[in-house]
Amino acid sequence: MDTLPLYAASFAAGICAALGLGGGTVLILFLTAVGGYSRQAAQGINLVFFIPCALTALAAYRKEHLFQPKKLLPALLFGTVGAILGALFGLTAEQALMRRAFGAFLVAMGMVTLSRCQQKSERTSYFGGNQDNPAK
Amino acid sequence: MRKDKLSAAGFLSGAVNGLFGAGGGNIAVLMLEREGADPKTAHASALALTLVFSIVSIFIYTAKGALDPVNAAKLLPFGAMGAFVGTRLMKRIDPMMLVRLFACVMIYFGIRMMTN
Repeated sequence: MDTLPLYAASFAAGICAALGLGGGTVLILFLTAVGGYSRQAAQGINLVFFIPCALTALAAYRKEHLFQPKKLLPALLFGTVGAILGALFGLTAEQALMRRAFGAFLVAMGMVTLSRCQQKSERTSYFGGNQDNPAK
Repeated sequence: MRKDKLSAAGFLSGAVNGLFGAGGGNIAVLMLEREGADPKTAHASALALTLVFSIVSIFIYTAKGALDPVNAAKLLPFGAMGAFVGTRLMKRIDPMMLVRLFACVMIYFGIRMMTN
């Protein structure tokens, strides 16, 4: 793949990430659909891509004391086991099966996102203001 | 939040993140919010969890030869520039409309992946 479209995809993914639109999904979709990357390679690139974005955001969240690492310990331990199993399975499973599974995951997440948007806008119109941030 | 539910949320989020290389954060946010966490705390906690799961997954992807982290890192400056532009754009556009649009794009590509 030419490097220019790859850089453009990274740039677009960065915009989407900042807007809270799931930059990772954009990057994986672009790399597989347009860039001709294998699903595993695209997913791996996305994982690397995520690290600095998360570190930057977490630095801000930490100042606001929005998460407490000690309280998250059980989730971290079990999640690490889950991540190892998930990665090992994802890398060895049949490509076609994983492609369909990822498709199903995208559909499910898209539906959940739409439903949450709907709930949010119903709440806002019912109360006549933004209930998540009443100051607005 | 109960420890067993927190563990389950972590496991599912980690498994999805390892499996698809993305999406673990979405699962964690959903599950944490369902257990009563406020949206901001849920997002921050999900981000912290996904950071760890992503690092673990990167090691496995690299060990299995599916990833060249050095090459992938070359894309980071472009992502950072995009993020900078995104934060500027955020002040000018309706985020809800964008989220809806993006959800539709996800569903479209999801159906294409399932059927092709």
